[in-house]
Amino acid sequence: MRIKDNQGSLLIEVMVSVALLVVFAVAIGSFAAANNRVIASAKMESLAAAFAKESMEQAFAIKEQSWPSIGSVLPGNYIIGQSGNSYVLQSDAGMPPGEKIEGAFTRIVSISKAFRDGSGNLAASGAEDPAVRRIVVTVTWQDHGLTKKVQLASYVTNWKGQ
Amino acid sequence: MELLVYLGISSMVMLGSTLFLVQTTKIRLSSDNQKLTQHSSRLALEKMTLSLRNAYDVVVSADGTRATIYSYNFNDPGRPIVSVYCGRDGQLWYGQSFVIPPDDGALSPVIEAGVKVSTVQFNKVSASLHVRLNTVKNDRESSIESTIAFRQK
Repeated sequence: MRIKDNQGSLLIEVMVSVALLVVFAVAIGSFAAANNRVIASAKMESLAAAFAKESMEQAFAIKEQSWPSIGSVLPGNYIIGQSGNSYVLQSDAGMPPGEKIEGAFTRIVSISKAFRDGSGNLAASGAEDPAVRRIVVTVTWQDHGLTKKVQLASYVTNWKGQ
Repeated sequence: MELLVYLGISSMVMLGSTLFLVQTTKIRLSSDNQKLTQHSSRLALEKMTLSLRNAYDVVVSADGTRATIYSYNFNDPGRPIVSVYCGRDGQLWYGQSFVIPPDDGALSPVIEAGVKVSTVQFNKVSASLHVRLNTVKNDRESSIESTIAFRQK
C-alpha cells in the first residue's frame, strides 16, 4: 500500500535529528568527563609519589646528619618536621596516624627495626641489626570513593659509623 | 521547508563541531605549555640530583637563589668538584669547575629557551637541599618542590 499523505514526516525527521544530536552530545560529554577523571587521578598519583619521595629523602637527610636521630628512635609512626635548618622526627600519636597534606593526602612515615638471617641478608625476622633501620612511607588519598595508596620502602644504614 | 530544516541542523552541528575543535586545540596548546614547563623543571631537578650524588657539602647564599655544591672527585681526591646553580634574569644557570666555584660568566642556562624561571629558592635542611622551582611559559606555570638528600661529610 502506498502512503500518499506525508503530513507529519518532517516533524519525525526533526525529532530523529535532534535525538541523534543529543546522543552524540551525551557521548562526547561522557568521553570528556571520563578523560578528565583519568587526568585528575594521574595527577593525584603523581603528587602522592612526590610526597612519599620527599619524606624518604628527608629521612635520608636526617640519617646523614646524625645516625642516632633515626637509629635510636623507637619503632613506630613519625612525622618529619623542621626545626631551624634540620629535619626532626616527631612521634605520630594521631588517631588515626598520619600527616594531612593539602587536605587530600595522608602521609605516614613508619620506622622499624631491621633483621638479618643466618647468612647475613636482610630478612623479615632474625637477629636485629642495630646499624640498619627500615623506613616505609605510605601516602593515601580518596579517589571517587576508593582509597588509593602509594608506598615506598627502603633501608637506611649507619655506614659512616656515626 | 525540509531543506531549510536540514540546513539549519547541519549548520548547528558544524558550528558545534568547530567550536569543540577550537576549544580542544586551545586546551591542547595550553597543555603543551604546561608539559614543557614541567619537563624543563624536572630536567633541572634531575641535573641537581646528579650534582648532589657525591656531594659532601652545600652552601646556599643568603637570599636562597644560589647553591654551591662541593662533591668528592674520586679520580683526584685533592681537587673537589664544585657545581653552581644560580637563579637570575628569568633563567637557572649552571656551571662546574674544580676546587673553586666557576665564574658567573662561565655559567650556562639549564632551562629551555622560551620557558621563564619565575622562582628559584634553595634551602639547606639537614643533609638535604630543598629546591622550589617555578617556571612559566605563556599562560601556564609549573611549580615543583623537591628535597634531595646528599652524603654530608
